[in-house]
Amino acid sequence: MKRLILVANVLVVASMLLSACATPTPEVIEKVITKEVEKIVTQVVKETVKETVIVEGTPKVVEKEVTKIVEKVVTPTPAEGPKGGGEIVMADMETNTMNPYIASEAIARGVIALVNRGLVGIAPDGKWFPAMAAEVPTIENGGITDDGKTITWKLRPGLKWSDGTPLTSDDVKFTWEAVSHPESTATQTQGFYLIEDVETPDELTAVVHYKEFYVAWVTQFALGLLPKSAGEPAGMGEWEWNRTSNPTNGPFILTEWVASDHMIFERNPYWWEEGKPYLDKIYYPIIAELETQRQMLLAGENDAHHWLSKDYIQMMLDAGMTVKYSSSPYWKRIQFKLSEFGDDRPSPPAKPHVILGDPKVREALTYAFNREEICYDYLEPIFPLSMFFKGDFNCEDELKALKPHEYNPERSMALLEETGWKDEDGDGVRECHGCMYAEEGTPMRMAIGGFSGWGQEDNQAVMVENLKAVGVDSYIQNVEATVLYGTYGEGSPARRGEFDILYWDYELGADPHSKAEDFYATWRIPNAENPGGFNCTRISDPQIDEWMKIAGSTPDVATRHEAYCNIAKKITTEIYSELSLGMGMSSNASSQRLKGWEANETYMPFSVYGWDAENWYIEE
Amino acid sequence: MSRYIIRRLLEAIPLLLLVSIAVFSLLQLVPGGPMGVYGRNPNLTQEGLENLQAKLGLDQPLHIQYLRWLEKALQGDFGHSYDTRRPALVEIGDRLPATLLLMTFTFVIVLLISIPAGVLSALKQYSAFDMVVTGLSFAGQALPVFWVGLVMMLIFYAWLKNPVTGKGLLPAAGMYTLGQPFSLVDRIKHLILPSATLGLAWVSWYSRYLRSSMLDVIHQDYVRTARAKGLRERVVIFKHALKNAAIPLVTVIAMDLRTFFSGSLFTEQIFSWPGMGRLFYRAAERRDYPVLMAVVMMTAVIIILSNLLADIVYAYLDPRIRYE
Repeated sequence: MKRLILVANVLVVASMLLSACATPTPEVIEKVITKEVEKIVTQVVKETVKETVIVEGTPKVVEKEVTKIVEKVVTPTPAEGPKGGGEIVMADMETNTMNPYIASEAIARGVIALVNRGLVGIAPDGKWFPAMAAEVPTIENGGITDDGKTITWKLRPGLKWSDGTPLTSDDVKFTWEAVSHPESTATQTQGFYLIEDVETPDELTAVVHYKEFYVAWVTQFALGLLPKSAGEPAGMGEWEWNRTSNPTNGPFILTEWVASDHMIFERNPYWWEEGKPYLDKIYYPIIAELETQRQMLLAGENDAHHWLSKDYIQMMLDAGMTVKYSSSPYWKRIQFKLSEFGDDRPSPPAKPHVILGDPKVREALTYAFNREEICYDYLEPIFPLSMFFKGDFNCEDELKALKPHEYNPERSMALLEETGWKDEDGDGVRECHGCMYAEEGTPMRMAIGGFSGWGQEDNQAVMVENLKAVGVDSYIQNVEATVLYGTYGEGSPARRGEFDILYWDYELGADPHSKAEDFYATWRIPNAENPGGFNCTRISDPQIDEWMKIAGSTPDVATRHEAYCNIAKKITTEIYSELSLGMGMSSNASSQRLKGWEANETYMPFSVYGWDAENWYIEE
Repeated sequence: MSRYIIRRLLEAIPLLLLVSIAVFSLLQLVPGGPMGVYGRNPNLTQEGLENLQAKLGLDQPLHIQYLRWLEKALQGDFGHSYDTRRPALVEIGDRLPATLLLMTFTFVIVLLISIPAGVLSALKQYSAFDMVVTGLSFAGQALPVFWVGLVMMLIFYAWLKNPVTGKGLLPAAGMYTLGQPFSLVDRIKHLILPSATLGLAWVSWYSRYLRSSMLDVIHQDYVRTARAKGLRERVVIFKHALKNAAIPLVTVIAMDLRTFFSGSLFTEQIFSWPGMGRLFYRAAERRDYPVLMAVVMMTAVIIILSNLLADIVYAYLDPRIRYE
């Protein structure tokens, strides 16, 4: 017994010692932050000088404008006044990496935006603005050639990485080299493999040559820039830089990261905007649970919380918090499988789906679903008629005139009767009596697939009721989100065509083309030989394919608009392969003292919550 | 005894091999895979996906993947996390100290409470004290850990406030308060809620086990003999009875020692404790096979060693036990 007591005492002492020294060693990223009283700012000015030009053996003296780089000493203006200084706490989930081209989750992109910026950014209104670039390239300013295959990016003069070294066009080129390297393990590769070369005629100019016209060129370097000093492209997956983000070019620098516990960000003295960022420090406790984050905000231990669900908005407002909104990036829809369940081919050659193979049945079902009821939990929902409803490619007016997607159960039932689906035995479920593809007497029963969690089942339950009201029996059959959105090889039921009706969502991104192609082009039907793509309904329409090629081969907005709207009309009013549901508002909250932030999540992955961190300030 | 220990250690080798095959196979059978986290990523091209799979070795047949893993694991390299691209052992090394701290602190408190509670409960069988302890034990065993944790957070963080600071009476998350210098008090305050959540079930189990085995032992002849010889009651109980009554408890504690490594998934998730439980949860969610394999294999080693330790402790507690 004495020994037991002795052991217990030793354990108590050991635990006290452990509590003092068992803290996981933080990855302290040592940065010597020297606040310079004087620093050299490089500016570009134009001067006229005389130069001697030798032409054909005859010396000629000509005058011409020559651009010269002039160095001048500037005293930096420290952050002062009510907007300067202070620290905030921003509790959120953990990122897996600080490399913008390896990070895939929304949370990672939000954290990375605090420390790393790309050539351009996107504002809440969908307009691209120059970030590290001096301007957004256009045909007018000579930034884009007529064929759209060469894009000239001009950097802002005087940019520096957080270690004081110049940020130049070589870093833009390096970003391409690293991301496009086959061994880099990059996950944000869209467009990089289409780049033939990046020229760097001077330190401020990067000329990107594409092998073919890339319609989403403006997004190419929007996620961030990688410093040449980070490491070799082939080893990008294992760079220490992915953990330290040192050096970086954003308004803040990461100075400490204790795995799964917290991160600390401090002002970057080399941020290009004079006087910004306003904040000195951001403490980032890594909190796994949204409920805990909310409670911390209410308790005054947290200054910012995003992804605030609708149920908590009033609570936050009542507690005096600031709540702001932006359109959610997630577009929800219901999709119908056109070919037989489990067959990954389009029809033909696959057999048509025994129920949904008949386009009139699909049309009937689009009248059965009550979109407002299904999306009952959306905050201020909007109900676009197709994916083409944003910015320059908005087709809503054209589609509205055709009046699709109206909730009309009577019309739905009438159409189902016409298609040979009738409830002759009076059990409330229709059977096939002269329908197009099913055997006589086959009940009209289908699975509604989706992903589990996040309240999905509640929305699907409404769908089941909507279908029941028109005599269609259905049941919910969900899988994990990572399974549903996974690859063909990993058995994603969506990609493998193992569904009847699918209820899910997708990020649309800033430019519609890549997703439109993924969803509707024949060559994006996933199968064992070609596992990519998200044309899970198995649409295979030559006309849609043709319009898709037109839209993807020209920078002309009007031509693209017309092509996309034709696609939308055909899908919405002839093929009926899907029903566009809705999207709600994404809401974020902050403490009263945190000012200067704007919600901006509509165009993820390019718009995220850290996008304007340099403007955040404290007002007590 | 040494030969016994060596023999047990050698027997562990084929066992661990079988465990690795079983775990690897089961992971492959789970729906989805490591690329599932990128499925919603609109910027990952097919070419990028194929390059990623090739670099991570996921394009190889399963038996090749397993053999490559085994070859590296035998050299102490458990591969790189698919999620963070860092070595799996580094990911574990970052979280293990936090788990050790939480588990050690909890374990000490649990023993300090459950041993006296179990002993006294047995000695004062059917008394008011016994009834209260028994009732609390049943409640502790019945209540789910995640529920207890959330209720604790609700009461001690959301409802009860520190009269001085106005903030929650006890912290809801993390290991320490950011931005403040080191404080032992602060560290302990952050330990209280997760430890209490975790410890409640342990105290319930251990006190019940001990009560049950004490009741068997205190009515044995040798205990009666000890009393008859005039030994003080404290000596009879703690030197003679408890030593034998502790044997079943040692078995249970040995099985729980693995949590010193594997942590507690629910408690760490609820209180955002940066330990092994959260690492395992995140790895499972993302099908991060290298990290999962590393955690499971190390847990298997811990279980084998802790069972061996239990056998050694048995021999100490009961001199009649001999190992060939």
